[in-house]
Order: sequence, then structure tokens, then C-alpha cells
Amino acid sequence: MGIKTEKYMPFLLVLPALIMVFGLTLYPLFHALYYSTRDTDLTSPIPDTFIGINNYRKMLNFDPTLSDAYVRSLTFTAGCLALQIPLGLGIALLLNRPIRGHRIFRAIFALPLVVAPIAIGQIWRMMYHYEFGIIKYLVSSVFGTSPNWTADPNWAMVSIIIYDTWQWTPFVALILLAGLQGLLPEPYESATIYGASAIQKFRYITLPKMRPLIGLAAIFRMIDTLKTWDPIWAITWGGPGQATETLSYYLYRIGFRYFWVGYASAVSLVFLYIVIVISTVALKKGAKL
Amino acid sequence: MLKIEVKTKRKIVDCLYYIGVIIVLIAVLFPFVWMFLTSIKKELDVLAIPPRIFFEPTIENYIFVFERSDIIKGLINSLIIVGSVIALAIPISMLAAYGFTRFNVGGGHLQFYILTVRMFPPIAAIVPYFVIFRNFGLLDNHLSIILLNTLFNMPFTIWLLAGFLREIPQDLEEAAMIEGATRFEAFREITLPLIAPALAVAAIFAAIFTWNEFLFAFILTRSEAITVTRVMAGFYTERGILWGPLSACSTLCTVPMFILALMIQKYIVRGLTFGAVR
Amino acid sequence: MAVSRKTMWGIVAVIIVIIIVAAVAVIFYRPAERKVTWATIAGFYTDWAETISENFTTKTGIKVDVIGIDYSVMYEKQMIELAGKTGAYDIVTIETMCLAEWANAGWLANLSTYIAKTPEADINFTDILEHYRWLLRWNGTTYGLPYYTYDQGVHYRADIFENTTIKQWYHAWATTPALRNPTYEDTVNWPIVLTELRKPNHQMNWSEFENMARFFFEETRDPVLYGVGLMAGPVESNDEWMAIMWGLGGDHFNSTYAITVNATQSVRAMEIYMRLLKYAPPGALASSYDEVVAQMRAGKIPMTGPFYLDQWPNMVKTEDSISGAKMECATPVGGRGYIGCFALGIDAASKRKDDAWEFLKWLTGPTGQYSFAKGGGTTCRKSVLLNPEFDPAVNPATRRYTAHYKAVWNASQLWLQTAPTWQKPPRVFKIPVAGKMYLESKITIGAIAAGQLTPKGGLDKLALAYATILGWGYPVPSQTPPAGWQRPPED
Repeated sequence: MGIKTEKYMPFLLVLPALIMVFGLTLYPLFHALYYSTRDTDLTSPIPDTFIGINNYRKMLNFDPTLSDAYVRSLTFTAGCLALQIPLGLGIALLLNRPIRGHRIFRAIFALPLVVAPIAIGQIWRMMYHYEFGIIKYLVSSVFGTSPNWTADPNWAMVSIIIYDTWQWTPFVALILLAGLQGLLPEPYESATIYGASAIQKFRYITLPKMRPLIGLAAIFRMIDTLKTWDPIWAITWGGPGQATETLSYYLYRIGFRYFWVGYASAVSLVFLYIVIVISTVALKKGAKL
Repeated sequence: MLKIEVKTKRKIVDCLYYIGVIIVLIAVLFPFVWMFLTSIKKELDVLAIPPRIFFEPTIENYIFVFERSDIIKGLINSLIIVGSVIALAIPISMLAAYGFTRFNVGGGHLQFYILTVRMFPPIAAIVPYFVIFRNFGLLDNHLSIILLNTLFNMPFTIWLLAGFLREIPQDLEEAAMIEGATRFEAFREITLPLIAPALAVAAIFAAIFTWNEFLFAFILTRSEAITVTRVMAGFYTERGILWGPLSACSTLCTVPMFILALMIQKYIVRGLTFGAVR
Repeated sequence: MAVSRKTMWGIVAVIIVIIIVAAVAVIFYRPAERKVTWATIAGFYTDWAETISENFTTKTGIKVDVIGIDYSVMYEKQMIELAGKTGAYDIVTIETMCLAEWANAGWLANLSTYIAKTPEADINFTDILEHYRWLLRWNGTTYGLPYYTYDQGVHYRADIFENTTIKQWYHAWATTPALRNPTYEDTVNWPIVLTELRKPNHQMNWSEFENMARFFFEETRDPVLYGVGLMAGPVESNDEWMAIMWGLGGDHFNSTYAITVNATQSVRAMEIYMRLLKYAPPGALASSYDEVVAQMRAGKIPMTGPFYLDQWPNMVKTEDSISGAKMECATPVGGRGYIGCFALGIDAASKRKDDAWEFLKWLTGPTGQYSFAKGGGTTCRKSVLLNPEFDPAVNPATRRYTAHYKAVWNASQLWLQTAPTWQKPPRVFKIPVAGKMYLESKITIGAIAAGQLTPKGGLDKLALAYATILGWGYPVPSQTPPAGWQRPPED
């Protein structure tokens, strides 16, 4: 190998990956950009026409369904974060003791993370059933009454949040556990000497040190919950009514039921842009912590 | 006296912790247990109110799945797809990871671009993909699914392998090269054996994500390239959802994932956080 | 932990072997025979159609691969196929409200040419019930032939309605002044309602039906019995609302194609529906038609709302699960129910059109429909519907399969006799984008039923959605067609 190859080799190494990634992302992006300026409808025999930014104006002007969907996505994300972070932290604290069977816990916690949402989601649909579902049965045994979960428009979103919490809290817990185990014991020893209570130790030593990691877990969960689609299809199909129709599901509906490719492309692009911007900002901020 | 008090207090606290842990474990495992139990229940038992814990088990659901659904085809297709994705993604990612860590190609910007792929909501990407693949006649074709899954797994595998590569000091390679080996030989003799477990881990992660992938399979496959996830979603009939066979199918398709998970459980956190957390 | 090179290459080799084996299996998996794929709604009638299609295979040598899809996902799955031009389903099952859309999009093969080449005796076009014939043509061309219908009526427990004790309770309850509904102009036929419970038939109006549901819900001293079974889930709730709306004289569009989906009768229909929901079992909001069947079989409801008559063979099984139960079905309340059928069409991108036509012709033809009826499939042909072999009065053995045929026939005659010309068929069936409007109505009606929107507010929203889908008026959608709008072909 001569000097020339040596010079270009690093680039050659990365090239296949770049071809793959750029090819499969840039081409569709331009494609979507192109279609977003047209009124393409796959069910219409008339050729589509150029309509400029009308799709975008439609999004902003009179598509209340879209804004509702945005709100639902935010609700879902907020609900999941509100549940998963504290719960994950609690579980991590719980497991952060020299108990035996440590590896087994980690293995068990890995299970919800590797099961297909479509597989276990449909099981949850069954468990949530208003007639023979086990969840309704257990809850009414304890509390005397139980909501109808996925059949009740007020509780359907909660049902999905609970599902997502079940699947991803182990993830948060594992991250935070790794962090907890990396903490040095000295500050705690000094605190004990000074007579600090467990709660004070938690508030003034653990929490500040764990903040970057908690932030990281929150960022990952936020990005992922914005993308969620599989569980909604598996558990409620966006129903009842539109109670669980987040932005992802709404996009699915206009793209693959109405086949409004033009409008759907516009919505997709904006959605993509928003998610990437939020994620990038969050990651950069997280890196600074 | 003080000592005894403290001891009992600690014992109680320990007990509480154990109970807490057990509660968490039950919550985590319960849906799986329910899934398996339902798969061996007769239809009447599945729909019974209140739900039955004791019943006569049956394997009729599994028989139903094998006879009446496309599970065999789905399994074969999923295996093909998973194998192809691994065969495609791992070598490419390995090369890219090597390029990024040893030479810092692109100065971090290219890496970042690849990272943003992970943030893509698949549903936003599916609309253009559907139209493009349709125009190329690639719908219901293994190739389209393989390409898409490779794409969406690459940020992950590249990052993972890059993380592991950074732990292997460059000096070892450089020492070999000084002694006259080419870079490639140095890589093959020294780095590769060290990175092999990481390759296996990356491959297994890619396998899990590809196996579990639903949206692309749902939209882009029909009957030729049908995957297991699509078969799992096919148990809706006019007699209601066939919960028994559905659970059986889910159990069948999840068990391999469990096995894989056990193999990589040490690396789960590291993998899913892109190496941000060990 | 370093791994030896041998192990590594071993893993690589194993992966490659797996891929090769699987690829080989897939390549040689394809059987090379003459066959057509038929995508259709999953159900007992499809299982039966699959059985009888073996006769077809023996006769012609063409194998039929039946793919049953649940109704809730059937429309979208087929549409993705058709839009993708994959030709994966040679024969598609078209819900009549979607036919105009698919025909207009060019997704369906032209059947008129095939029909012209086929001897009339094989098809006997006029034997198909007239109101289906309205729906199968678009712009002068036939795109589908019907094989199965789900026209609506009412199923009810005749034993409950004939029970003397219940009749007495009803009499006592109905004579209290609090019962009068001052909100409706309908003249409720009080004397008849007071003296006996009548079976639901076309002479009954919706106010009377509502009272009956309320009676069953509030007054029968049986905690298990609710008032009425409704499919208020996200899939069928709009069909029920539509039936009530048509029964009250309303429609999606009027004779001048103005959108009337939020006009008085439509809103009233929705309000009636909301009140009926109060008398339905819990979980109505998640119910589809099979759930209502389950409710009837569990003895939870005395009657259904506007319900698909084709489910009779499932409904009649209530007589097995409840001793003393006697099931009957009748024409819809208000005289109008959702009309339509599943038509079979051929994918324009299919590579086996001729073979597909053979099967289509057979199943929708007189012989195929006759065999179909023998298993309880609800036929679309007059000759089969009126065939004495399928009349329980003449042939009692057929009761559990075809006792609903009379109601289907009567309901079809009612439309012909009572509907104005411009509603034969309702305008909405001829508009290509009706498919989208149908889907949109599912969402909105479902949302109103779930309490997320008020009847008037929700229907106003729906009207706006219709206008947006049609592209009428910009930037503010308009409910009347714009000056240059081209009316869809009346044929």
C-alpha cells in the first residue's frame, strides 16, 4: 500500500456506512420535501399539482386534529417521564444494596426491553379488557371499583402510559443503578459522622451527583416517547374516539388510510424537524451538565 | 442494648427492601407469565370472568398457530432478514467505527449525522419510503426491509463498536505495525480478537431490534416477505380477537429474544445508552 | 475476554449458512400452480366460502387462496396493497361505500368487458337486488359484483317481548306522565305503545324504540339486563348513527349535493344515539359487532340497535346458551338501516385477471350464491333470498342459517318504496372521496360517542371535514359545492 491509499483509507473505511446512511436518509428527505409542496393523493387518478406551501399553511390554519395530536403526544411524553424517572430512581435505590442475586435482577429487568411491543402490547390489550381483563379484576378486588381502561376515553391514555412505564422503567432503573454504584462512599461516611439522616444524604449527596445521569435517562425517554407508535397500534388503535391518537398515529392515519401523501409528507417533515431539534438541544445541554 | 435495637431495626429494613424488590420483580414478570398462561388456556378459560388461574392446560393454541397462521413463513423470513441485516450492518459498522475512532473522520460531524438517524420517528420516514419502494417495485420484498432495518440499526452498532474500540489502546496496533505488519494485518491479528465479543453483542442487539420491528414490516410486507411481527398482528377475526393463539404466537416469538437477552444482559445499559453509561 | 479466531469465523460461517438455507427454502417454497388470492373479511361466512370454493377448484383447476382479514383492518390493508400496485390480492373485497373511490383511483379492473363476454345465464344481472346494482357501477362501468351483504335490521329476544309479566310492567311504566318526551315532534303512537310491546319493525319509530330501551334498562327487575346492544366502538358506530339518520329522513348530502351531515335530522340522530348509549352495557364504546353478539348470547340485552342482519347465524345461538330464549329479527326501526354489501372486484395490477374473473363470476353467480346460502351466508340475489328452500316456514331445518332472509328482502323493498329518487342510492355512495369521508365519520362519531365532542359540535366538525376532503372552499371550507364543481356521474 502506497502513501496515497494511506491518506484516503480512513475515508474509505467510513464510506460504506456513509453511502448507506446518506442514501437512505437524504433521498427520502428530498422526496418528502418534494411531495410536501404538492397535493398528492394516492387514491386520486388526477395527477398531483404543485401547491407551494399550502400544505404547511393547512397545518397551521385549520387542522385542529393536528394540534390535538400534538397535545396528546406531549401529554404522553410528560406522563411517561413523570412516572418513569421517579420510579426508576426508586427502584435503583432499592436495588443498590449488596443483595444476592444481583445478576438475576439485571437479567430479569432486561426482559421487558427485548420483547416486541407488538407481542406484549397485545397481551396488555387483553389484560386491559373491560370484561375479562385481569387488570380490571385485580384493581376492583383491591379498590372495589375499576375504570374500564382502554374502553374509557378518559383512561385510555393512562393505560398506554402505564404500559410504557412497565416496559421502560427497567431501562431507567438500570441506568441509574449503574450510576449509583459508581458513587464514592467517602461523602456518605463523612455525612454519617456529622449525623445526617438518610433523607438528607439522599437530597444533598446522591441527588446532585446523579443529576447528569437522570437528565440523560430523561432525554432518552423523551426522544423515544415522541416516536412511539407500535404500542398504540397494539393496544388501542388510537381510540376510543381519538383519545390516544398521538402525532405518530395521526400521521399513520393520514398517510395510510387517506393516502394524502402530500400533506403527510409536510407533517412528517415538520415532525422530524421538531424531534431532531428538541433531541439535539437536549443532548447538548445534557453533555454540558 | 443499643446494639440489639439497631440490629432489629436493620433486619426490619432489610425485610422491607426484600419485599419491595419482590414486588418490583412480580410487576415486571407478570405480563410474561400471563402471556404464557393464556397461551395454554382453552378459549373458554381465556374469556372467563373472573380470570382463572387454575385450569386445564392445552396445546391447541400452538397447534392453531402452526396450522392456521403463516408462522413458518414468518419465522423463515425473519431469520433471513435478521441474518442479512447482521451480515450487512456489522462489517460496515466495524469499518466505520474504526475510521471514526482511529482517524476521527469528519471531526465528529459525520458521527453526529449518523446519530440523528436514531432520533427519526419511523412513522415520519415511512411515507416517503412507501412511495419510493412502490416506484421501484420493492414492496413485499425482503430487500426493502433489510435495507431499512440496517439503516436504523447502524447508528447504534457504530456507536457501540466505537465505544469498545476506544477501550483498546492504539499502541498495540502501532507496535505491530512498527514490526512491519500492515494496518489491516495489525487489525486482524490483534484488535479483532479483542473486539470479537463486542461484535457479537452488537450483532445480537441488531438481531433483537430487527426481530421486534413492526411498523416497517406492517406497511411494507404482505405475504411474500411477511415477518413474525406481522403474523403476531394477524389474529383479529370476526369471532373476536383470538387471544389464545395470539398469546401462543407471542410466546413463541419472544422466547428467542429472552435467550438473546440473557446473553447480552451485561451490556444492555451500555448498548441502549450508546455507551454513555457503562 | 478475547475470543479465539476459530470461534469468530465459526460464528460468521453459521450466519452465512443460515442465510443460504433460508434463501433456498424461500426460493423453492413457491409452488407453481394456477391460483388466485382473495382478500376478504374474516368470519364464519368466509370459512364457508372457502369450503365451497373447493367445488370451484374441482371444476376449473384454479386454487383459491382465501385471506381472511378482520373488518377493522381490512380496508386499510387492501388499500395499502392497491396503492402499492403490488397485485398481491387478485380479488379484493370492496365495501360499497369505497367502490367509487377505488374505481376512480383506477385500482379496479373493468368488469363490464368481462361481463359482456360472459353468457347472461352465468351472471343473471337482474337477479342481483336492485339497491346493490346501484352501488356497483361507477361512471357507466361495473367494477364489482356482490357476494355478501350486511344490510341492517334488528335482532331481538322474542321470548322477552312476549313475556306477560314484562308486558304488564311495561304497561304500568308507560302510563306514567314522566315518560312523555316533549322534545320530539314525532307523534308517538301512545295507545299502541301502551297496550303491548310490539316487535321492532318498520312501523316503529325511533322515539318508541328509545322508550323501550329505557324501559328495559331502568324498569325490568333484572340487574343483568341492559336496554340495547350498540357497537359504539371506533369501527361501526358510524354505521349505527347513519341508520338512525336515514330513518329520520336525513342524509350526508341532499339532492343538490349540499353537505347536510350536521342538519337537524343528523344531529337528532346523534342525540338519540347518545341516549341509547346510556342504556347499553358498559364497554359499548369498545364494542364491535361480535361483542354485541356476545352480549346477546350472555343474556345481557333484549335487542340490538341497527344491526347487521347477516349475523343471524351467530345471534340464533343465544337459544343454546339461554334456556327458553327465542330469537327473531326484523326490518330496521324507522324503515332504514345501513345498506350495502361486500362486492368482489379485481385488482387492476393483478397478473391473473382472467382466473380471478372465473372465481368472481362463480361465487357471485346463481350457483355460487346458492351454495353460499346453504352455509348461512347472506346472499345478494333475489332468487336465493326468496327460494322456499331457505324459508323456515317451509323448511324448518334452515331456520338457524337463513331465517333472516325475509328481513333482508323486506328491508330492500322498503328502500325501493320509500326513498326519494335522489336517494337511490344516497348521494354519498357516488362520490369518490366517500371512502375518506366514511373513515373520517368513524373517527368523529366515535369521538362524540366517547363524549369528547357534543353531537352538534362534532357533526359541525364532520361537515367541515367533509368539505375539506372535497376541497370545497378555500381558505374556509364551504358546505355547498362551489360553482365549478363537477358532479359525480349519476350512474
